[in-house]
Amino acid sequence: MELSVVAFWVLSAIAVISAIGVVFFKNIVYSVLSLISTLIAISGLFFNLGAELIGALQILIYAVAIVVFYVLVISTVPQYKGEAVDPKYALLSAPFGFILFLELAYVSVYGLWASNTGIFSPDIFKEISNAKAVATLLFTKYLFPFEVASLILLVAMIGAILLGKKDIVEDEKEGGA
Amino acid sequence: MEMLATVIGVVIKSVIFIVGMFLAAAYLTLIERKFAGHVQQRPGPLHVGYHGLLQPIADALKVLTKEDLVPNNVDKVLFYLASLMAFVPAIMILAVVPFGDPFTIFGIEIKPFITDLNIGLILALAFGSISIYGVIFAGWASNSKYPMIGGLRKAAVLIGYEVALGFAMVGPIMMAGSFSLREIVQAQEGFFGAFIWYQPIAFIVILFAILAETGRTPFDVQEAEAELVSGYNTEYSGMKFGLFPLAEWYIGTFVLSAIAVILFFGGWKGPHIFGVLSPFIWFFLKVFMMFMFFLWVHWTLPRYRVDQITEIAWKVMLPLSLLNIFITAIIIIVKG
Amino acid sequence: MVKLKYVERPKLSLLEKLLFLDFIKGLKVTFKNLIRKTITTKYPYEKLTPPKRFRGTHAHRVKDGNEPPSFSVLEKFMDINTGESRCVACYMCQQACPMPSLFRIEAVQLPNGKKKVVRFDMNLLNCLYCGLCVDACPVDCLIMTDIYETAKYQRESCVIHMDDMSERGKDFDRRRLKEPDRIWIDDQERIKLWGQIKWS
Repeated sequence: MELSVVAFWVLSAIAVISAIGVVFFKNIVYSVLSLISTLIAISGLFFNLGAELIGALQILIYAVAIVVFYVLVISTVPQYKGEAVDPKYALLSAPFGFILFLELAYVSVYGLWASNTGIFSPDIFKEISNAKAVATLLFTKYLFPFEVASLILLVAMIGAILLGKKDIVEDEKEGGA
Repeated sequence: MEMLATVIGVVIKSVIFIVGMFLAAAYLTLIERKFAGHVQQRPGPLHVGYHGLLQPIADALKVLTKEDLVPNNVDKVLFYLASLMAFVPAIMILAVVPFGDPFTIFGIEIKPFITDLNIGLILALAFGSISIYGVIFAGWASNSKYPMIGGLRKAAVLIGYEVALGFAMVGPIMMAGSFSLREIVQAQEGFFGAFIWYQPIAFIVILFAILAETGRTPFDVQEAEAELVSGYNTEYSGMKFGLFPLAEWYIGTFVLSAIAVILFFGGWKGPHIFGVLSPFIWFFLKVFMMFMFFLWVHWTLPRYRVDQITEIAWKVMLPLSLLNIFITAIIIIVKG
Repeated sequence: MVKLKYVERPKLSLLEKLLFLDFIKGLKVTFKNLIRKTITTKYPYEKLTPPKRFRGTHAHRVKDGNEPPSFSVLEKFMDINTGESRCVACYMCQQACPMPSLFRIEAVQLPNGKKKVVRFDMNLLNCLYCGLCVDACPVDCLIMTDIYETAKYQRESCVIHMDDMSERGKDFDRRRLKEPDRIWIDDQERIKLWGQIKWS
């Protein structure tokens, strides 16, 4: 067996087991912990595939920057509240989960078929670096979605600033009255 | 068979790096204690060995043989896990830090780095920031108010400085045209080729971020001993306690100093006056100077409030680093 | 009502903000201290002599001809030979003490009608070294010496008795009776450690 095959099976087993843990742990801090484990295992899979840039960004953005916000909120929740289970939501989540699963399955199957059509094969990856390949794609083929995404982020940022500002004004009014 | 050889090679190299880092960290504690002592006009450790040279060994023995107390109401799994979660990523940054160019001794080619990924810098950033989960989970698992506040403070600070750090690193990356730490070093030729002359703003932002990430004094909100007893590690004892300062103050600071040296001071480049070992000596000399600078700042400045840190990070450091990217881009385009 | 005056914090100038001048000032101070000589006394190897007024372990002055006039009034009622503790068992020290039970003082009447102090114990574990007993002593008998190493291996050893107190008193008087009463014994030493003090 090759090293990458071993790594693939180990990493995917870790990812799947910790993903199950995310759903079934009653303690929400443990859920977050296994979410981190899943994300890191998936970044390991990216490394295994030779997509180092995506793997590192996966750790940096998903496993740290985003999950830190979850942890920040969740660790302030008292433990007994985190353990409460509402059967109503459990029932409601089943159909949505199924629809989400179908969607993901479609995307991954479609992606499998579509990925062979690009100009970037593993040989080219080795020649030019990973970052260059991603950057070239971003600024040529996917320039429009990239710009749209940046516009959305800008709007979100302005929205956040407005939301943050509003509170301060209200506080001042209350203080004055 | 080839796979086995690769694995064994990497394992041996990693063990050498880890053990070396452990010993280095042990003696960095001695250096810090001596430095802190002399700044306060006292001599520091003096009696164990010549001027305290054996003090780290005595300390290690003391910490290892201490009673390992686990309080009753802590979350046992996370309590144990957290100290490792702080320690392991800090030492994992070493995997991407190159200590020099490959060289040949006795006919064997030795590469003084574990991997040479072409995105080494991002990976270093990622490992560095993942180690703060140790702090946050230590705070949560301790089930006590001071550790909790310490952990949350660290999480709040992280969100601020991590963004500025990422953007500040873009400056040197743009000048070198690569994420690989080796290529960044190779892009800096000669004394006036070091990026510190071209990227002073990025250097200041990165100094700020490293101080915040390693929890050294102006930004040590997570273990502010004046307000929180000892912050996130209040409930820890024995070696589990020992791992936190080892990871954050010594290994973290040392490795991030190495990265700062690679980004701004030309890494292992320097005049060949020490023969074959000259790159190593230059590199460690530079890293040591950088480390001493952090110590100097640590033992000088008072502590910022947590809201002041986030304010500086978002309102000063982030715009500065964006401005730096802007200026660098213009200069690169104009120069061609 | 007390009037509060709010003082604006001085703002940093632009130059100071840009070049971190206040940080650099602080760094300069620590660097100066870094290269200065340390002022530590390496305690078990070097010991500072405390000032004469230092409140260390208690001692008894002995009858040696330097007694205050109050002692000569009481002397004729007491059975004290030269070289023995001049305690007259007046219990004033116990009265003044914030923790009176640390004293154990006993005196007996001899067949010739004179008073003899047979016991004067102090349990120093309870003592807070405030020196009130020394002030209260009418015959200048109970004093405090410059001995500050009071740690012992047994609790019983922390109780001091009359005979060892008079020994300690003799020793202390031999060493330091004639010394002027001042904080630093040696001006040279003080200036070396703390610099010239300017009195206003």
